[in-house]
Amino acid sequence: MLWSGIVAQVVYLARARLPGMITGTSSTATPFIASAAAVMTTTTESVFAFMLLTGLMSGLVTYLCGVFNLSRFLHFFPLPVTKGFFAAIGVSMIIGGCNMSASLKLTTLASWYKLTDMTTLLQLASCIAFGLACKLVKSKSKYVWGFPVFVLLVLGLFFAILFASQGDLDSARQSGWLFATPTESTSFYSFWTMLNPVKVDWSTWTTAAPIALITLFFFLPIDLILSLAALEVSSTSFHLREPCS
Amino acid sequence: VNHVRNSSRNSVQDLYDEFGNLKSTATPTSDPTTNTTKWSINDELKTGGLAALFASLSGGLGVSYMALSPSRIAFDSGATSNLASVTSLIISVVTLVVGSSMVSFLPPFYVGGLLFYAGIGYLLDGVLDGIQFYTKPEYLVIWIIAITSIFFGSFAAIGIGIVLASLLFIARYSHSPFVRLIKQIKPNSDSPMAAKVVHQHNEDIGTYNCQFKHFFC
Repeated sequence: MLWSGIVAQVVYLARARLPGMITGTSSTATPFIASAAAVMTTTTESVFAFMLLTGLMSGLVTYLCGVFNLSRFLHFFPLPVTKGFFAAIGVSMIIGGCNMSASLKLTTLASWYKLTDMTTLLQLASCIAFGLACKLVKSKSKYVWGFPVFVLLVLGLFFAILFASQGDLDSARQSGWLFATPTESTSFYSFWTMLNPVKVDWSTWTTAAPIALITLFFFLPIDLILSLAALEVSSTSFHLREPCS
Repeated sequence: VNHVRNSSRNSVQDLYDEFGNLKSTATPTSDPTTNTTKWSINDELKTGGLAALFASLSGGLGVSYMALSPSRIAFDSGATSNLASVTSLIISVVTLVVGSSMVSFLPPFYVGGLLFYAGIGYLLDGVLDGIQFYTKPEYLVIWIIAITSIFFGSFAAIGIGIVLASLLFIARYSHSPFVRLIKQIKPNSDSPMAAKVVHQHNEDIGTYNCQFKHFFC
């Protein structure tokens, strides 16, 4: 997936006219593809093949949507619905940030019990305080560089406090103040060896794949259009042009 | 530059006309007076499609295109060039080659806090920006979509949003007049044949500039 993001970033650098766009694997589509692949396929090679081909076809469909000017259907999205999507994006980011900060899953009741632990509560409070401070600095700062300097300053301050309190990196990782070191030892190019069409179980594709693919192809361009619209709201330097030619 | 940035900050409300449709913008190029640039959604769709296409062709897994949260943070940090994109690319390549152990030097609250910050921006844009313009059912729609995304995910939120969009569209257009006469104009034609007909039947011909509903223009 990291490789996928790298290639996408190169394409954006070569083609996108809007500077500063950062790419990554779609958090909306990938879990959907992965869960569909897990249900429909039986071997690891089949899962890889399914994910690869859905990515390929999704890209093709999204490209064709641009070629055939299908973004004009955005005209029929009423303002409250578009704003609802923005709110949904915001809520999922806030919950995602909170979950990440203290290894929680706030949509489940069991995670709320974890908040009785002082360390977990402190990690969550640090996340919220940092997020709110970022918002405050961004809105109050008179200078463009105020926000990035503040963000870097907080990281520096964290390590200064960590080392000043005689703490070491390993104990910080164990207590959840730093991400755990990944245990994987496979090389980055190993996934290419998994792409073997002979070992793919193609028979399962004919049953459930069409429904999953149609759903995916329908939602993905909408997801990208809404993401662009959301980015436009936060941007000061670009506006989306009239989609209807 | 900072003054221009602050004064030209977008509002979602500014993107729509009085009927709730996306406004047409006249100029498809750079606007030197506001230091802003207009971009075509179709171009961005093509770029996103090509990115996903090439990523998959090269063996990458998943669908990759513009990622919203890091792009927003880059924009908020004042990104006006491709420096942020290049930096992101370099870090990604180093992480791929060296290994994901680089992540273990970052505090989760820090990464989570940045995500939290980006989320607050969108939440406020969604539920507070232009709140005075909504009727109660419209405002309810915003919350229904937001709450659906929490419990059932983004796909469900998009799905329910499309259904609600259809219902709102029907409701809104059923309240607007079918044909609205803007002004009566003089008959005019460049065709000699048509000009002759217009000349002969001038009293019987009425030409009007009207506004009316049209699907899929």
